[in-house]
Amino acid sequence: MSNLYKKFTKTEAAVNRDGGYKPKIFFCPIDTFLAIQKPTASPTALGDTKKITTAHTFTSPAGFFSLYAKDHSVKTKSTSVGDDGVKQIEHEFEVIVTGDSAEHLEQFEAMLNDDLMILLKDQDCINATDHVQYGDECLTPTLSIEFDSADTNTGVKYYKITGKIRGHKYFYTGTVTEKTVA
Amino acid sequence: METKPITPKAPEAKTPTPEFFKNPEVNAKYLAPMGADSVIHIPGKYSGHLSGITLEVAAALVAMKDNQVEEKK
Repeated sequence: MSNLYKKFTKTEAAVNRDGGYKPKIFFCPIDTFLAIQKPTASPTALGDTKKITTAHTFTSPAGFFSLYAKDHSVKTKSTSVGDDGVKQIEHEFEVIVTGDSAEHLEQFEAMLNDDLMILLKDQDCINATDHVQYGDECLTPTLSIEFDSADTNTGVKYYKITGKIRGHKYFYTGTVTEKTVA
Repeated sequence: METKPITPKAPEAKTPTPEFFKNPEVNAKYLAPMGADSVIHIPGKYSGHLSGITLEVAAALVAMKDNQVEEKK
């Protein structure tokens, strides 16, 4: 089947154009889902292979954990990688969580080597109705952590979490269920 | 040594109370089979506890095949 294409006008170019994401991300270990949904197996319209419209489900009380992030700190970037003819898109995201404690350290250290699905919510709550999903049942983002203590003159203590994944970025419109007791 | 008989734990009740949802209209039409009042977010539609959903949100959850809401048969 050949690729699907469509004409992009001023309307398409204005869709979800405002930059950035909500300063809060959701993450969830892959093994706590009851069912992880995928894009439709029979795409008919442009975008179908990147949309997940059915809700990921959990066995109660499992669910997504939220991470409250520093304002304006949630950012993403995608670049093409690979040789000509077999290029792919590598997605990266970054989030800053302020503070430091034993809980911060243990949680972020565990996140480094766990299989986590990540959701980012667009900053535009009126027009954008999607979460951006990184990772699926088969592949999850690889995370890196950086801690900066700042100093007694300026700045605050923070953990910078960055993630990277080749492909496996989706627009998720299902329910995001938070873990009942977190 | 005295051994105490182990009584098996009763399985957690998954059957929701008939009045799970705050909205009586939702209660009349839908069930919450998980029995947990999770915080849920449906972008552009609803953000809050499952028990506070409206009829429209309940219908959307069923359409999304979310297992937290079930239509009464």
